[in-house]
Amino acid sequence: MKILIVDDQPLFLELMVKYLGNLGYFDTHTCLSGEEALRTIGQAKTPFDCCLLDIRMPGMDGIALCQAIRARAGYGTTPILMVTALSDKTHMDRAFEAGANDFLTKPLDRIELGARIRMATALIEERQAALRLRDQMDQVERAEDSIAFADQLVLNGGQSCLPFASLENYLLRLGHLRFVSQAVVGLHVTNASLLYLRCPQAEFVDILGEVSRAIEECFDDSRSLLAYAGAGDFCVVQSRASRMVSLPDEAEIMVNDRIAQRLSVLDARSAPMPRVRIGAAQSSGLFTRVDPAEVIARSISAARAGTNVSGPASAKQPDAGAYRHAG
Amino acid sequence: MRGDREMDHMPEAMREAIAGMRVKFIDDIEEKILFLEAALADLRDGVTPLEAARKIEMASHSLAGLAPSLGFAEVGAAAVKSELAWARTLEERDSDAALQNALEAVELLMDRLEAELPE
Repeated sequence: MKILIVDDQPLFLELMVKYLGNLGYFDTHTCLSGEEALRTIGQAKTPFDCCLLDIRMPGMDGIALCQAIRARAGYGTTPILMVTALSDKTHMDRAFEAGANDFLTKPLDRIELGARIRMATALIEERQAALRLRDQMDQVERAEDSIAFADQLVLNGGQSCLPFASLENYLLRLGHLRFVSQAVVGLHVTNASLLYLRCPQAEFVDILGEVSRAIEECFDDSRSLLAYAGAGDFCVVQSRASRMVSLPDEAEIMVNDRIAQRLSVLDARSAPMPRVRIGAAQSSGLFTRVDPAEVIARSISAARAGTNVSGPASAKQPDAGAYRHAG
Repeated sequence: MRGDREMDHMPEAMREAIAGMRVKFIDDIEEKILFLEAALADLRDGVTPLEAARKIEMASHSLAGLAPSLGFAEVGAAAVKSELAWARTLEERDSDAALQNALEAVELLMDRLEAELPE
């Protein structure tokens, strides 16, 4: 794995290179500034597989660099890990919006570094699998087994749309107090299985991308994030005060209106109009901590079951169509 | 200290490499102290106080990440305090209490750095 590390402190770069070498990653390249990193990326004959970026640097900071890397051809889904001191947590939301996949905290911990790099490796494999699928879709108009219905596809949505693994990471890394201020809302495309059966796979993916954009257009909280969880399920992370959390019925009407507008050209004879159902928002309590993965699972189960009366995650959950977390 | 405990479980080559980096860190301590003192002097002169405060905050931030990564836990803790205190001073620019607190924090940080210097 070819790794780019950017930090303004030479000694920190040296430490990172040693740790990575110790973990078996020897193809490491270092830069002392964002500007130098962009030059290095531009001159690289083969693209980097993973980038580790310090957030606070003189000149171009890590967030601007992350954005600039994402804008480069071939770097749309490259794992980008932000390296940050604990006091930088306020930058977390901005970094995820700029396209970061994960965080690594200073002081540097060898075990944490190993875990984060393994996560990046998993993202690379996911990306390669997605590319392989895209190739298959190009070659075979309707290969029945190239995309499974339950696949957590990386959709071509707007800037709030993340790969599902990144959304999970985001929640895991939020910290308890900030996690408590957020709610997770599940959205279920009720006729997703019918769409999957009737549409060519490329069209199925395109329709889900349009649904994703329609959902994003209904956000009233600029920090909202969205991911596709597979099987017609979407997950949205928003503040507790947002519309999808407090007024799910109203939000459901808005989302379905947007979908109808975006997909007005859809031929009803070949594919039905996607219909989205919003479930009750789920969150963790201040004193009754619920694991983020569990909150996600409950939000999706609520959307599948059609229960949109908001309540704490510890409330009794619907049994029918319960979502089981893959991890 | 987390850093020390980590060092105990490291392969020998890794431990040696980190020991080398610790020496480099110590070699740079005087330069870091001089940098902080120069910024403090600029602050007191009042020519470019904002820039001086930002320099101290950034230097503290850098030390907050690097020092504990190399096992200098006390320097790291003092650097975190200094960074937060200077960040607060930059936010509340008219607060004498915040400035006083920040000045004490950076003095403590310089003391901690000095304590790591070989006798």
